[in-house]
Amino acid sequence: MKNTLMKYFIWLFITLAAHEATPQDFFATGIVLAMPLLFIPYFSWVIIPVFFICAMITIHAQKQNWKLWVGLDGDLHKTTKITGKKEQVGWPFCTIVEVTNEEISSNNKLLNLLLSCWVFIWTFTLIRLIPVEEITQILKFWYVPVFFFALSHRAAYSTIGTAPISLLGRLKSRRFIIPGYDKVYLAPAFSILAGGIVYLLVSSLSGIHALAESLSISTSLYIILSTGTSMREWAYTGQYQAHRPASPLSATNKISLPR
Amino acid sequence: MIKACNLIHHYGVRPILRNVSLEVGQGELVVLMGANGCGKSTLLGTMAGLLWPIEGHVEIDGLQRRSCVEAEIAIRKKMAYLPDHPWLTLARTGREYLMAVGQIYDLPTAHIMDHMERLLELFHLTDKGDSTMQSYSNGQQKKIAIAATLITEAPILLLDEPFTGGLDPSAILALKNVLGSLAQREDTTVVMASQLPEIAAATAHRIAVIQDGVILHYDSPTDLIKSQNSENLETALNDILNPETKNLLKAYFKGKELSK
Repeated sequence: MKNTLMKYFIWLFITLAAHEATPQDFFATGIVLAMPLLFIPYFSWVIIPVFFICAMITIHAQKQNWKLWVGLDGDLHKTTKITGKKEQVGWPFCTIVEVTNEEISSNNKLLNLLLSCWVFIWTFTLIRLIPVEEITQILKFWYVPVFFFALSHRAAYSTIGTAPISLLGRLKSRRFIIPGYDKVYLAPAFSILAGGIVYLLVSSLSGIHALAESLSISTSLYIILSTGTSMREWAYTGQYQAHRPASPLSATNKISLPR
Repeated sequence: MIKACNLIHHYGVRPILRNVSLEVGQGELVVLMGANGCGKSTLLGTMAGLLWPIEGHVEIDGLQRRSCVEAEIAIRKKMAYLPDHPWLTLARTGREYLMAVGQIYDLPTAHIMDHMERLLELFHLTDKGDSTMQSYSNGQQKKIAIAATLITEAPILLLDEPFTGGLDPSAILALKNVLGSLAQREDTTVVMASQLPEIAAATAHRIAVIQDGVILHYDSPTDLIKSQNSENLETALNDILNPETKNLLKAYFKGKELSK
């Protein structure tokens, strides 16, 4: 166990060394990730600092990696530096600002795999800490994180635009599938499906529910991060209706009179 | 060149565009006219790439919208869209906003500053230039939005009702002249939705008359007037869009005389 983990840490460290890592990033998260390991009785104390450092690097690398998935944050509206601060350009000029999120590269997929491994270790350790009589209750909720991942993906991508036809419109017009838009649902759907299949397979084959649960969650996370259309591709080729923010003109008049 | 091919769009099941095809040549100024809710803004929004049609597609200079990442980026950079209700960054000053917009179109800073001052002067906003846009009146906000669209110097301008929204007469005259000047240029294509026949008559190369999501006529103002045997564009448009108005007016005045 120790040797395997050691190899994993070394591999992790070498892989992530190329990525920028600042010590202040996610210090607390690193602690949280390392915490479950303290409860493993056969785990050497020596490995804890190594594990902790690796956790911080992983999280920092994921922070960089995350940007390509989360994509459109407030920075989209901020483009230029005129008075030393970034200026907003409002809508619809913000659509001119180039979405710089990269495509999901093999390097990103590797990072996602590392994070998924981390999540696997974390959930597996946590579940094993729970008293046996409570496990059955907890295991009923294995799908909660899986659906959370899927919904988060959906929420992130919907920051750009919405479906060209509403659900009711689809039903009434019998246009049930819009390929150019519905491709955004592929990754979440596949993630939920894979999570479910992994859980059922592993639990029935091994009988270890904690293993099934952890594998299900980590597999689902890996798929949601690594598959489907990238944010950049979606922003430029997705067949969505662009969001139009509520006009601030009327809102302004409600709260203050022109000076 | 803008080419809208067989556009069909509906909101829910309410049809807005019914198989609309439209070609706008380079350097042309085209005005979309029609009653409220006839599909002008939807057509403009589709050309601007903000709406995705249920069927059909839009091509800009031979590049199809949202066909690939590189094509879409190229299209977006050569186009500026003025919505009927622009979303301004009200916490910023007018000058900061114009500078920011100019910079996302990769224009040289000195050039933006020069153009910005001329635009502010043209729209009587020089004194307000350093105030936050929150302090602007509705008309002033509309003016700064128009100035932002013009400062881009984009070769394709899509303007949704630029003459509405509280513009004062001097701003209307200024914008009319600017559009007239753009219409003379070969390098700027303008598509504008408007309800004002006098503006269209003065500036447009061609007018697309839309009713219930269908383009009824797409001609020059002169040909449009001729086709309806009308005296001017206003009556020609009225004859196309509301042919019953004459009879309704006759009935109204006849009833008035009878009641005396």
